[in-house]
This record gives sequence, C-alpha cells and structure tokens, in this order.
Amino acid sequence: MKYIFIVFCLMNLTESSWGKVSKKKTAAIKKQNVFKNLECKQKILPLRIDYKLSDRDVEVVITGEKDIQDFQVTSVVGLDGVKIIEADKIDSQLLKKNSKATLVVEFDAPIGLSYISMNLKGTVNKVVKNQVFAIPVGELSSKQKSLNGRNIRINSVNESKVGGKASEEKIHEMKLETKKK
Amino acid sequence: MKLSLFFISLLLVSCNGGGGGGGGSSVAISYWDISGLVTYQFVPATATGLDYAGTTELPMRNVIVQILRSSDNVVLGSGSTDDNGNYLVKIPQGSQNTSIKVSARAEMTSPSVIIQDNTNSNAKYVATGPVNVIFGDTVISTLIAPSGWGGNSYTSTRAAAPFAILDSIYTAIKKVKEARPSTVLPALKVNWSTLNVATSGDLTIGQIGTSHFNQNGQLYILGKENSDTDEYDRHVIAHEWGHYFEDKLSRSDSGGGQHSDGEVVDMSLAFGEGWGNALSGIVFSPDINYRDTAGVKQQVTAIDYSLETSPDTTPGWFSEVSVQQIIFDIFDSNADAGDSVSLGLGPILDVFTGYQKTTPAKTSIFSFITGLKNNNASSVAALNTLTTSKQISNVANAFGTGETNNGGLARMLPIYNQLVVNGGPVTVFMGGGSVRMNEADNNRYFRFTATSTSTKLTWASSDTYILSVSRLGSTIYDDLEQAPDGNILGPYFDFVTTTPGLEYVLQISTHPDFVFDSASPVEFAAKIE
Repeated sequence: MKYIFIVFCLMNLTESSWGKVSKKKTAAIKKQNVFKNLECKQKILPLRIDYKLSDRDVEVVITGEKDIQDFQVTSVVGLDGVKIIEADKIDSQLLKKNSKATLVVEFDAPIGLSYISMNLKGTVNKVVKNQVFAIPVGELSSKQKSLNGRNIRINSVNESKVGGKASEEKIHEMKLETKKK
Repeated sequence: MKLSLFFISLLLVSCNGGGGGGGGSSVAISYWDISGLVTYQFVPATATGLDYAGTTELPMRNVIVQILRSSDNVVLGSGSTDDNGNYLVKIPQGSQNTSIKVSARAEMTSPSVIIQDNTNSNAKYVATGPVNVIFGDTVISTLIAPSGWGGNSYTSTRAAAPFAILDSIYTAIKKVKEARPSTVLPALKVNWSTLNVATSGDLTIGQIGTSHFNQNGQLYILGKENSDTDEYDRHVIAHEWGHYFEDKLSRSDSGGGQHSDGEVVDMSLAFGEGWGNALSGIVFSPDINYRDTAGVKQQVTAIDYSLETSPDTTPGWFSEVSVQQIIFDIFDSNADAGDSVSLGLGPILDVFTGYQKTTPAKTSIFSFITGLKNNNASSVAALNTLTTSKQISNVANAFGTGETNNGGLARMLPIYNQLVVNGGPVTVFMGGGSVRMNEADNNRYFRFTATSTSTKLTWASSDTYILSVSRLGSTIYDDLEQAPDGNILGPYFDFVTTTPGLEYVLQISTHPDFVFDSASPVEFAAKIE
C-alpha cells in the first residue's frame, strides 16, 4: 500500500513534482499489438488446472477462480492405451475461489504419446457446466508418427495451364466404399 | 452415382462437348459426363451428448469433386456439388478404359475453405471411392462418408467429420450471403484431426487446447475421441467462424484468452465472444441451443443453453451473454422482454463491415450499437430499451460516454478517461492480482485527440503494466514492464507519432501473474503533451 500511496501523491502533485522523468529505455515492441491474441479459449468452468507428472502418477491441483458449487471430477479416462490404475475421487463439493482440490491418478502408460482425460463438472451462477482437459503423457514415438501418416499421399498437381509449374499437395485420403442403391 | 456414358463405338449419340463431326452418322466425342451424389453422416448434438442413433445422411454441399485415374491419381475432371450434393464432372474421352475413382474433397472454392489435417503436414482431407463403370447402362450409387462409429467407439475412418465441419461453415456462409450477397469472404483454413486434444502445446501433434480461432487466421477444431470432439457441435463451429468473420471483414480488438459466461470481462472480448455465440444462433435458427459435447463416448454435453434466454447473471457491457442476447434479439423477430427490434442479419453485418472497422473507439457493444443507431434511426428508441434491459445505459457513442453500470466496482468507470494535450495527468486503478488479465477490472482506457505529429506521452505505474496506443485497432506504440520490486515504474516519457485531429486510444492492462503486490490494486497515471 505504501507504493500506491506514493504514486497517488506523485500523480496528484503538480507536473513539476513528478520527479525525474526518464525517456523510456526498454525497447518498446513497436508495431506489434501485445494485446492481440485472437485465440478464443472458451473456459467453461472458472478454474485453473496445474499438474505434476511422474512416470506412474500425476498429481492434479484444481484451483477455483470463482466459487463453483457441486464441483466434482466425473470421469478420469486413459486415451491411446493409458490404463488408469487408481484415481482419487472428488465428489460433489464447494470449490471456493482460490481454494484447491487435489487428486492423484495412478496410471500405466504405453510407449509414446498418450493422454489422461478428465471431465470436471460444477455449477456456476446456477448453471451446470462440464469441462474436459487432457494431460499428455510421454512423447510421440516413431511408430505413432508412422501410423498417423499412413493415409497421407502426395498428389502431383500439374499447373502448367495456369502457372507453368508443377507442384505437390498433401492429401489425407479416406477410402470409402461406394454404396449401391 | 449416376454414370452417364456417351461413348459408344460407331453408334454414337450426341453428347456434351464434342469434337466436331456433324451431319453424318458419326460424331467424335471428347468427354464423358459423370454425375453422382456424395453425402456424409451427421451425428446430432443433444442435451445428453452426441446421438449416434439419430445419425442422418446429409449432402456434401458445394464441395470439390474430382474423378481420378486410380493408378496414379491423375485428375481427369473436377467440379463442385450443388446444395443437394449432386455433381457433374466431365472426363476426357478414353478415360473410361482405365480404372477411375471419385474423390470428394473437404474443400470449397467459392469462397475458399479448406479442411486440413494439422497433425499431418496440413494434408487436405479427401474421401475417395470407386466408380463402377457399366457400358450401355446407368449405375446409380451413392458415396457416403461415414461417421466411423461402431456402436461403442469409432471403429473406422471418421470420414464424415471434415465434411460436417465444412458444411456448418457453408451454412454460415450462405446465411451471410443471403443477407448481403456482395460480401467477399477471404480464404479460410480449418484444422481438424482425430488427434486434436484439449491440452495446449504443439499444434502439429494436436495439442490445440480447445477449438479456437488463432492469430494466424485459422480455425482449430477438437477431435479426440472419449475426451472432446467438436466436429458435430455446429454451434461451436459457427462461433469460431464468427471470430474469423470479425477478424477478416470487420475488426476485433479482443485480446482473447480464457473466458466464460457470467464473467466481467474486457469489453472487446465480451463483444467478440457474444457475437460468436449470437451468430451461431442466427446461422442455425430456429435451433438456438448452443451445445458443446464431450466426454467418454461423447456422451456429455459440456454446455447447453438457449442463446436467447440463458441466464445472464452479470448483465452489462462486460458480459458476453448480454452481447450475445442483444445481437440475437436485434436479428430475431420474437418480441420478448425489452426486445421490440427485428432488423435481421443484414443491418448487423453492415455495422460489422462498416462502422466497426472505422470507429476510433475499441470494438465493443458501445461501438456496435452506435453504428447500428447511425444506420437505423427509426430503431434508436427500441435499441435503447434493448440495451437498458441488459443494464447498459442508452448508448451515446462508441466510447460509452455516460455509462453508469460499473460492474460492482466504481473504478471501472468511466469507460474511457479523457486525456487532453497539456491537460495534466489522469490516474486510473486496476484490480491487479485479483482478476485475470482479460477481465474488465484489469483493463483501463484513455482517449485523446492529437494536436501535433508527435505526442509526448508520460506515464508511471505502481506495478506491472502493459501499455498500448492504437488508432482504429492498429497499435502504433506499446510498452510493458514488470515490477521487480515495490518501487514505482517510471515516470517515463516517449514520443508517439500522431496525426493532428485524429483520435487515439491508450489501453492499460496488468497481468495478475506478474504483479509484485498481488494484494493491492495497480495505479497508473498518464498525461500527454
């Protein structure tokens, strides 16, 4: 509060009392809007999620940013081969603003990148909401990369009619059956 | 697929194109016409998640269809489907002697929209199937892109998903074009993958955080089974497309970031999110239930509310729900509480493509209503009633002059603080560590009219600050500094290149994670010379 007071006084004094006014030295980020971040992050529940991951378990700390009534973790599932051995339960409770709920999830993960997905549920402003978040486990393996790219082919596109150059385009081919009627 | 064969040796019939002949019994034919139908399976979102039992078959509208030579994928001919999913493609004479296949690309050309796989080098999604050629007869067959649902999980290629996303966007495009046919929409790329998951990280392996419109002007859509998929959540798709529309054809001063309904957020963020929601209801009206499905087997509906009547617990200029309901009420013809306005979509788009781009203020409900009033004088009284019903004072101008709703904090008003050249410092307070950066209480605005080509700006702050001077949404000067201790930051000065007579906005924000004293408000003062 001391500093607020100082500034308050500073700003309410006459201009000559501003003290030493320095030319801003830190490089201003010219021509770049520091506010511009158009990503829409629909945050359904007002909470913050932190986690600490080890080989066999993950400790998840959920912090309320607003009061959340009937807060609960309704599901913890393993994706891409992760087996959930045991997960703490968080049953219906009041998660107050700035309070924390902690759960530990024990798991067995395969080689490669996989995820633990959690569904959170709570009531905010009398509206029931759900929110999903996923925790990555491991790193993408060469086998996964290979599998992921199995339907990719490269098409040669002859653009000689329009531009005189041949080019290539990558296609994710999804092979279908023709259904006869 | 209906395959019309016009190549019959010696006994030739008249046909499309043609290479001459005439008069005699023989005509050389240069191509075949191949026509058919392409569809995809659509899984509706309900209050209890995706309803696979209710899966319907919908036409792939306005998508590119190509006939390929199977051996080497050479394109023999291409065209686009109509609104019923029908297509007609011409292929060269002789092509019938090779194995051919049909491909439907999750892509449209007018306007350009491409659905691509961000986890596979942005490869374009293409569904391919065989063509059964029968000479002297007609083959009727249908190419269907299935959802891939096997009853308990996805068991085959989720080929319908990219087309479902594209079709939702096409519905939005059609709605806009119906209202304002001359609208020109820039190219759009939409990234979807079965690997797109609700964790932030590397976009190229699917860690997209959530479905969103990003700074590069592209959409990213969730697709991870048993976690969160959005390909059939058409209101979510339309919402994100609304961000694209605002960014490309209008102007958005939203800083983005995490948000939720019921929060008191920065006015530009509230406006952008409210617009996205309202647009989703406009596009799919009369289906105005915004549904976002997720969870195991996609059987959870994370959010489910009426875009017109959902609870607005903190109404005002800072509420995305208020903005959403105001815009939807302006569009719709229902006369409910406080709403006697029924302007339709056209006048709304006119403001987006007109006044919103040129307002000297930040984009917000104030600038939008001001533009709407400018264009629709006869609706001013009704618009006042409508905004008042959302606890927004009669909008006097784009700067919200005279607004009385402070969201429960006196320091949030006025919306803009006036700076006058040589007029002395003006002080504002922000919430600091108590709220997120994109909440209204951590953002303050000043406005000033320049009197010279170089305006000297002097400022000081009690804690971490982010400063930006902008004109029509474009930043012309910015600065930020994190407080290393409890000492005052500044006073500093610098010169901003300005044009005499033009109006500028100075925005100040602070970030709760970087303030030194999180328990106290942040005080900031500025003056211009």
